[in-house]
Amino acid sequence: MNAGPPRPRLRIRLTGPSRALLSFALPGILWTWLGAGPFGGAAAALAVALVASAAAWAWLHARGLRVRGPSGAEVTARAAWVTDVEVTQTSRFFGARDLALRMTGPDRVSAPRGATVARIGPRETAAVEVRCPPLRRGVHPLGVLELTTSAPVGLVEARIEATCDGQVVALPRTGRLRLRRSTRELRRKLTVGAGRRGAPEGDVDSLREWRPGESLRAAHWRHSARRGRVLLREFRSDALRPIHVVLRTDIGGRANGASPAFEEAVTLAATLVDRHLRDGRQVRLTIGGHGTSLRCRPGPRATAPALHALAKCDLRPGSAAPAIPPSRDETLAVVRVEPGGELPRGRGQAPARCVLEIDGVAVPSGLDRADAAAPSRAPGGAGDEAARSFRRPLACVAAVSVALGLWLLWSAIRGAGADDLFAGGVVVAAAGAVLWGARKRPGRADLARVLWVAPFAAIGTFTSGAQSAGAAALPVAVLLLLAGLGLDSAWAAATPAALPAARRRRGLPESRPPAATPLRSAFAGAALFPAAILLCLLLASLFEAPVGTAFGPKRQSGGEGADRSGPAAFVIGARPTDPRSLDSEDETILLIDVAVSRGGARTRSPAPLYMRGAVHSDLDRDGNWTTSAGGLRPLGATFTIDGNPNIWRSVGDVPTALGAYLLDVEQVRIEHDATGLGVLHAPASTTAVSAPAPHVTEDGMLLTDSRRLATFGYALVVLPPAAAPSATDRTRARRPFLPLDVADRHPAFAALRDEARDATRRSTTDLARVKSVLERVRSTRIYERTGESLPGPAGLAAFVRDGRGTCVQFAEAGALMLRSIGVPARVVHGFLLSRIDPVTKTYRGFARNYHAWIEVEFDGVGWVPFDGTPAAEDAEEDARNAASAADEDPAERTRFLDVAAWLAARPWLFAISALVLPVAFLLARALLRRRAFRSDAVSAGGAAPDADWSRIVERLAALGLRRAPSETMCEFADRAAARIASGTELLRLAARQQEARFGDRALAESDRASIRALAASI
Amino acid sequence: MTDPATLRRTLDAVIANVERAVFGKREQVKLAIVGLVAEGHVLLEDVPGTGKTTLARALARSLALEFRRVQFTSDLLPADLLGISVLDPATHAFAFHPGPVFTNVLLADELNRSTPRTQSALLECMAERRVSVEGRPHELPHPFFVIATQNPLEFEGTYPLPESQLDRFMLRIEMGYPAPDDERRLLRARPSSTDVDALPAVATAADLASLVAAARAVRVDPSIEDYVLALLDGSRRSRRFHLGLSPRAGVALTRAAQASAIVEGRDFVLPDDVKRLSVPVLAHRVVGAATAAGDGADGVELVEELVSRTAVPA
Repeated sequence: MNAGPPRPRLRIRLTGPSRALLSFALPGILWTWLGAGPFGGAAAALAVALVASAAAWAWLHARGLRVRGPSGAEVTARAAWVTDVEVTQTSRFFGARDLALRMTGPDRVSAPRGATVARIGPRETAAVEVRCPPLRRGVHPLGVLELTTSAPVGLVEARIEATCDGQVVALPRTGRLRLRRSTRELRRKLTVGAGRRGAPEGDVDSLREWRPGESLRAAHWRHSARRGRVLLREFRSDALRPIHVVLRTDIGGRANGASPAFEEAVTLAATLVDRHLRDGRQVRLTIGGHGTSLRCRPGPRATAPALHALAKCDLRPGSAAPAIPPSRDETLAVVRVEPGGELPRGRGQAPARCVLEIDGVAVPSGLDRADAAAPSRAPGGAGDEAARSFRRPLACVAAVSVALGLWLLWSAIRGAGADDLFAGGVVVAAAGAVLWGARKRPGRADLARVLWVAPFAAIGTFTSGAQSAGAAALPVAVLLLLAGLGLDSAWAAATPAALPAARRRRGLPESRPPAATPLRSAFAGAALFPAAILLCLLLASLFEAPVGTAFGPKRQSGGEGADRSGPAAFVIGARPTDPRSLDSEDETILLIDVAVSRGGARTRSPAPLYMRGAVHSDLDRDGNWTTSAGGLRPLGATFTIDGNPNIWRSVGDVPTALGAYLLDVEQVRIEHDATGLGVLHAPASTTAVSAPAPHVTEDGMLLTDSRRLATFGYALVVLPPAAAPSATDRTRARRPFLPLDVADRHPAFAALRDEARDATRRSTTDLARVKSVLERVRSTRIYERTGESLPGPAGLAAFVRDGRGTCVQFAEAGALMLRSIGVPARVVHGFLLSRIDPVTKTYRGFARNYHAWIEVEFDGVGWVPFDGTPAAEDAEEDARNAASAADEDPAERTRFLDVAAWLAARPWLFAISALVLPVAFLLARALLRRRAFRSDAVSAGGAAPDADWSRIVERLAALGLRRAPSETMCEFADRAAARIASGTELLRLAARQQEARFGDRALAESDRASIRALAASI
Repeated sequence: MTDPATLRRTLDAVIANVERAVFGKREQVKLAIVGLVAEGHVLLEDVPGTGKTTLARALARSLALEFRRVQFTSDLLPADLLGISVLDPATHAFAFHPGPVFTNVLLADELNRSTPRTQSALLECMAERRVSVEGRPHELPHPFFVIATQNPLEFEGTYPLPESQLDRFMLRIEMGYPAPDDERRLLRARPSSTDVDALPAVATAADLASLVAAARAVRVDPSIEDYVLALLDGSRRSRRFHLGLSPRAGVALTRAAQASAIVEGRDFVLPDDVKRLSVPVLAHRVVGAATAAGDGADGVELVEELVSRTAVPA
């Protein structure tokens, strides 16, 4: 007061966006862009779902505006969807001037004129001080407080504190929240108007004294009886009568906390004035101790002089109370400060409080702090409502999960696969756990934790390597299910959840608010997660993203009963010129769907798949194997898309695939012509897209990026001939297609020819000849996986000389030998794939699978592959022993998958465990409860029964009749009387004994004698 | 001090008289008399039509006590119970008109239907036997008994009594449906409400006073006291109880046991009295823990369990 004019400060605190929200939206977004496996689309959908749930949560979290109290108190605003907050104006406070205030969020900082700005990061609070130039005391309206938001991510809580040095008064205000949507940003405008609340809502129950001659009809009898004189009720309708507001600034004695109470009183007076003026009444204001007496008439800016006067007043303890002449025409409202009474036990004085009396009757001021306090802070109040508001969304999600699970089960029953049954059962059980959790009043915190756990569970599931969601969700979901069930029940047992209901029924207040255990809610909520996965997969399948054949309706593809034991299917791919040009041998370069290559039949045993790359059917003069040009029909398939032929185009002179094509392999139909060539037909609606990369190099190398394997989830297949060659089939030699005379070309070839002739001396059929030649090659040379040898005659010479070589040499040698004896053979380079991923049913091709082998043409059968390499026989074993790309231990992986497969094959196990587990749990709970109820044996003590009677008791005990500790002697006697002969005597004596015992009388001698006699007779 | 034989005769006469109106409810009648003799208030809880009002009126008639009945509705005000001060316009003074609570036996029908304010007005005068209106105390007549009834089925629109108020009732009696033979008798007799008014008085207030005095004088062995204390302690320590028994419950149990001894014609308390009265006296005072409530165990079961686990004095 004495330190110069006041410098009010307006402090606005804003808390930055919730970190949690960002943290769980972020992994989902990251995961989308990682695009793992064939589930890229699903991951995108998952991320969308996560973000949408975050959005829903944030929206639910934002519930409008709460405005509190009078001077110096807080105005709390909660805005949702805010990271970027602009507060452009301030509220209408006393004692400061109009100014614009702006605050921005974490990204942008802007500095408008005349305001200070703060940057707010996550979980930070910023305080902005607005300094006003020094003022005279008075009332200066400030304008409107605006909170503008943009960038709808995050949650910000804004708190606006207006503190002034106690010299000025802020009116309570109502807040109106207006939502304005522009194209780019979402604004929430908070307008803070001058006090509309203040004096109590509803009728002010004004009373006045009865004057003689007036009718007693409006008498308020209760108050009259209390006071001992007649008081009349005054109705609203009969006063637009003026109101006289008196603010008393005197206060009797020293009062504890008089200042804030006085501020409250001033505020109250101001609101009364303001309100009644707005209602159209005339107001007379008297401020005691200052000699101020004003008369205000309703009109624009009518409140100003009164408010000015109020703003300037202060407490004058010694002054006299204002003399108020009683008036018949006015309602009298007196606002004063009353000192608090003495607190019990000498604790001093209670704080002063502000009292409003209307026509002599105290009314609640309506500015109670408790009244203005946030209802959600009270235990069991709006917190319950919030909890209820979350129960429904959780229940909806759980219901969706149940529906999904049932759908899966249904498709499984219709013959899809055991792993769908699996997944379906798991989902239904998990959803059941969530439903159970949902009925226990989850709160906001629970939902937040659900969203916390979900993305991490997602990442863990997908990176576990299992591509099929069914098998992947299994361990996670089962674990979560059990944990959720167990924890949920443990929590329920430990907490008196039923107690609040009981107390409420009896009218008692709730003793404690329901507490949510984080673990419980996290587990119960995370059991939602399999449902989320399945939802995403469903969405993905609807949009026809390639999710593999694990989900979705099953259709039989191709394969009209072709014999699978015959030669492997051939696949057209690309020929790598040199496997060493690949970065690593373990780089995955191909994925081939078994279902297509095997004509739709699924097989679990790794069967070698020969994938034909390029075919060498010619030998040139120098002994190099080449593909012939000019006159050669390109070997491979022609395929038509709706009748339009697409032919493999050659780059250089090597036929290669023209990029990659995405096809819906279910729709592809393959027809064979007489020579065994397959023609692919695909319907017009098939998406045929040329993928940008993989790309074809000049030498015909088809390079791929392992991450792009999603685009290779198919194969163009030429199905093999229907039968294997029989012994009687003949090979056919055709000139100039297959030059036979090779010996002249190179010296090394002569040695091979001799060897071939020698090997086939005793062979009669062509097939036998082929086999014996290859046998000879295999058995006499050593196979090296990688070597220095090169294709072509140089390598062949080394092969002949050293007796060791790679598959290329074996193949070339074999082909040469066969040709030299007149069998049409050619060398095929490609990939030998023998490892099938049992989960996804695809062949995985690595660079090291590059292989070369021979094909022999049989009349009427076609080109039949024969593998001259000894390694071919080890291919299956190789597949089992080879380390996978992820360097896992295949034995372990096989074991896990075997277990999973074993379980999947026995879905009834789940039904049984679904029954057994709850029963076991209930039993355990019953046992625990029994133990808890074991109260210590309480002995009542007292004098021991006398000796005679105890003999009877012993005798009865010998007969097997024992008195239970909680059984009275009379009851015991009743029970025993039925069993012994002298039952009535026993009853009579028992009554006597009890009388003696508890009546403090002595037993008669006759009775004693009878007792002894009875004891003897039992 | 009248001797036990006279007391016994009086009691038998009363019981027989009441049984003329209420068929087949000997135990409940005895319990009600125990409540009267122990100077406690009785809560009758049962479905409609089982003879609660008849029992109360018959008892009042038998003992020549003034009987008033108040039907508690949700708009009943305390003033309607206790009385009001009324302005006399001639003298401009306020005079007190007593309410129905100024009687010997007050039947408070459907106590749980009225607002807590009215309930507390009644319960306050039950405890203090005195009514304060407009700051002036008015004594209630002596003896003063309240027989309150509750319908245990319907909870909608009721204000159930909280534990602290229920504690003020010494006994809770459940009437139950009569046995088939008694029901047949009832159908044959087809009583009307005026039949109860025709019951003669077989005892006087003085007889009741002597009964009360005799009940106070009944001997309670220290081992019986230990037994009662053991019951109380067991309820407080057991995890099955969320709210155990209060000291008022112990006092009520002891006094009821004394009254029961008198009704049975003894002048000493046996553990059987305590056991027999445990459920009526204690069951409405306890609140089971959530685990107990989860099993559906209510007060009766809990008290029975408690009694079965507490050793009686031999």
